Amino acid sequence: MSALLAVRGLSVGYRRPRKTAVDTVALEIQRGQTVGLVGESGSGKTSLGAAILGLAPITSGTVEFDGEDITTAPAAVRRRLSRRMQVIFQDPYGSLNPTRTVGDTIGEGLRYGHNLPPATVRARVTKVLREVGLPESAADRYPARFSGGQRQRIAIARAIVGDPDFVVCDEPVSALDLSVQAQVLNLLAGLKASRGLSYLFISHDLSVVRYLSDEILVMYAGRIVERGPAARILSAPEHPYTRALLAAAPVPDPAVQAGNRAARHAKEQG
Amino acid sequence: MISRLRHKPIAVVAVGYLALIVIASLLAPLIAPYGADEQDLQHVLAGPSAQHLLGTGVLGRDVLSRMLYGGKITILGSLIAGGLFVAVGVPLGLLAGYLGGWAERLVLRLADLIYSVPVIIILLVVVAIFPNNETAAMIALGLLGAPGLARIVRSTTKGLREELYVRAAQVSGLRAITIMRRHILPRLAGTIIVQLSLFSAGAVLLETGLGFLGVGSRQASWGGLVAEASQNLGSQPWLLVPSGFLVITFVLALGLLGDSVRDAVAAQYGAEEARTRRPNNNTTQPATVDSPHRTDALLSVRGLSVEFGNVPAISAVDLDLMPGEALGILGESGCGKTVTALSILGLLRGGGHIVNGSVRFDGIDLVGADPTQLRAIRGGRIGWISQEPIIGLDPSFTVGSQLAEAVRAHTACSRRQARRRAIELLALVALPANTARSYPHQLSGGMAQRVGIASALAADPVMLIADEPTTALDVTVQAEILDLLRDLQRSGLAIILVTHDWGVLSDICQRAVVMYAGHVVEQASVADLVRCPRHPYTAGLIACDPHNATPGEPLPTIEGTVLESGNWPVGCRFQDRCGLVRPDCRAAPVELVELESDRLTRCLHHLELNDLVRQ
Repeated sequence: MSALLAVRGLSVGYRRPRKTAVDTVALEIQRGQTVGLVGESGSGKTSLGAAILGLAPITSGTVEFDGEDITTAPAAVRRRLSRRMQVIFQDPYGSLNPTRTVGDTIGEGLRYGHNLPPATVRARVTKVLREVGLPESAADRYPARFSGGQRQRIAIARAIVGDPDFVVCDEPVSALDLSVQAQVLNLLAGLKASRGLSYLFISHDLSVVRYLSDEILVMYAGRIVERGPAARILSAPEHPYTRALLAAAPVPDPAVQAGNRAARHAKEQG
Repeated sequence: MISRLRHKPIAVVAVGYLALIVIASLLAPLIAPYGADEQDLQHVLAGPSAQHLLGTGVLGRDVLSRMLYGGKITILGSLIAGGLFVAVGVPLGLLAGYLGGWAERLVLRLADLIYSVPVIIILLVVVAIFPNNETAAMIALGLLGAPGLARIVRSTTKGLREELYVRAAQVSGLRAITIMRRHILPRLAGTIIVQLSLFSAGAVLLETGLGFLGVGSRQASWGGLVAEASQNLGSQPWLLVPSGFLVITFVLALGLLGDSVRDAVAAQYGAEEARTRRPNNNTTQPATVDSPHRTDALLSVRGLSVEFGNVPAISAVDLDLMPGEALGILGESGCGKTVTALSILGLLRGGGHIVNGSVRFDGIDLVGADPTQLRAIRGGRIGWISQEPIIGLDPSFTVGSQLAEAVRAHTACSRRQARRRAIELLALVALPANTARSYPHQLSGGMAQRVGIASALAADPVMLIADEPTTALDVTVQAEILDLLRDLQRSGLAIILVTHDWGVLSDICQRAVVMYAGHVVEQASVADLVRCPRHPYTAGLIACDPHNATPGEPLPTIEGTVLESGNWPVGCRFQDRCGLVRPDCRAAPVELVELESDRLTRCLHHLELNDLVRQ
């Protein structure tokens, strides 16, 4: 069976300022699979996700979704695909329009992009609100009434309301507190299992990526420097950058962390 | 927005006044004592009298009646101008801002072109071609003003276009036109209303000005009245008073309305949350046990309570920092850890103030210390490192000059000595000497934080307070900054580190206090906190760290969210999220109890925690 998403030789470049953010990157995501994309700021991981969604300028290469080439898909094709490809952004405050009710925001793609009747949209909104663990009454309230974690649940509801196959998660838990982060990660893992979703899971945090991903890609300066099964990347990293990332992440245990630090220093000196 | 305007007296008065004038103008045929052109040749250019309340003009025409009739013409004129202004300016600006590219260039060039045309000359030409035709002049004015509005709308739209919710709408399959209507136009409404009110006021003034110049309408418009008055200024100065007063107050009301709308729009987002937060006066503060300050501590905080307005943010916080020690303050957002750090230095902003407690540093109580003394300690003996040091740097001065300034603020030395010290400080934080000549925007995030640390070290402090110093940094850069902080601590500096990250805490600190809902819930060595927590919140927080997670198994979570400031229950503040909760937890405030030396918990059932962890 062919991959759900296939990216080949993809480059993303911006004109002002002139910069190549993504440099000939290839990746494949199978149905129901989660691919984690790890990198630091400026590595191009967000641009790669945006390019797949048609939100960043592609300078070369192709993006295929379910066998269809969508590299230069016109707006009409993107609109048709919008129910199958979705996104969850990092910032739960900026990603919801403060002047629209939650129900309006979640349902607007179905209502205005796909012209479904209001009653149908309303029913689906109610269903996904329950699925992400929010009360039905949330639909009539404004985003200002909700905490960061609840807002991220709303953003997830918006992403799944059209029954997508594939969701780009761009740092979906980075802005959240630890206890809320765990709730949202569990929700994402649950939706993956119950709906057979595929994720491109973008994050700077290896421990978060490891928790959800089947495969991990490590990105540095626009290129993918290492890829492999999640467990292998964490236990036996091959590329020096992956090793540096792992060594730099502090571990929540003073004794273990002291050992890691000593090992890191020894390597830096040697 | 309308409900918000209702609470502004100025806006209410302005709207009321404008409405009164519009209604009176519309009802002119019913309420005016005379016709617009009715003459009373016995009273020509007369002052106010019982017959003519506001006097008469040439040919004895009643000023009040002419003002009432004229209102319709003037207001209609400004409506035409304002309507065209919005109808042309907004779509042009929206298209230019949202589409960019050629559409944007076209609109901008058009705007430039029209800007370079002198408006008053065009209007005079229009008036000359269509004499006595108010409407033509106002159409021209509206069209000439529209590109100005288009520019403002364009630049706002460009900003809104980058909002994440606009991108999310694009991904949801909305057409550009739907996105503009649903997501961009509503956010522009305030700007447009402000511009419209100012422009309409301008149109009224211009109409009056044309009248004054004698080229405006000869009908009974407000401009016409001003024209008539100006021609007879010598024989009857009174004539200018009613029409002039009317024009001035009308324009003033429009301007005030615009200002109020702008303020209301600015307050629209965010204010809602602030309004819903109310102080919970039922909260009974636990009686503070006045434990004495530790005399061997460098910094000793006792019973520190802070309120914002009437809303408590932290209550009865105790902590001790030994010389040369690194102490962590751990917690999630909203639990009061940053407020604690800020209040130690007297840096609270936004209405925050210390209501109780003392902060003993080196024998001095910083609470209630006089400002000069506090300034000498803050930045002198105690250095401060913020999450985003770049904000603390002035973009127009070099790093070196700002460091030298920090040195000179606390030590008496010459400029040259200060500069030399600045280079030493840069070396201390492992930056090359030529960094001194860089400007803040030339620094990377990690370099900026090193400069922030150098600046905190400028006066050779004995302790540092670091508020999430690595949260904004990449993990590899974070490791370097943490190394630097460790080296500083080893050389004898005491550090208070505010963080939400167990890894960062484990790397730097020996001891930590865990804060929840504005007070300390546990205090212990970091190793003890991580390995055998003695408060359910600490236990939950360490369990849900994804570092400890097994892929494929659900992460342990703490259900619910952190309570809003001040909305604290009488008993244990963690009661609604706790798996161990019993009736006694809800009955009365729970005190911090000492389990063993330097090990405190605010839990009645901590002995059952082991069972919970094992589950």
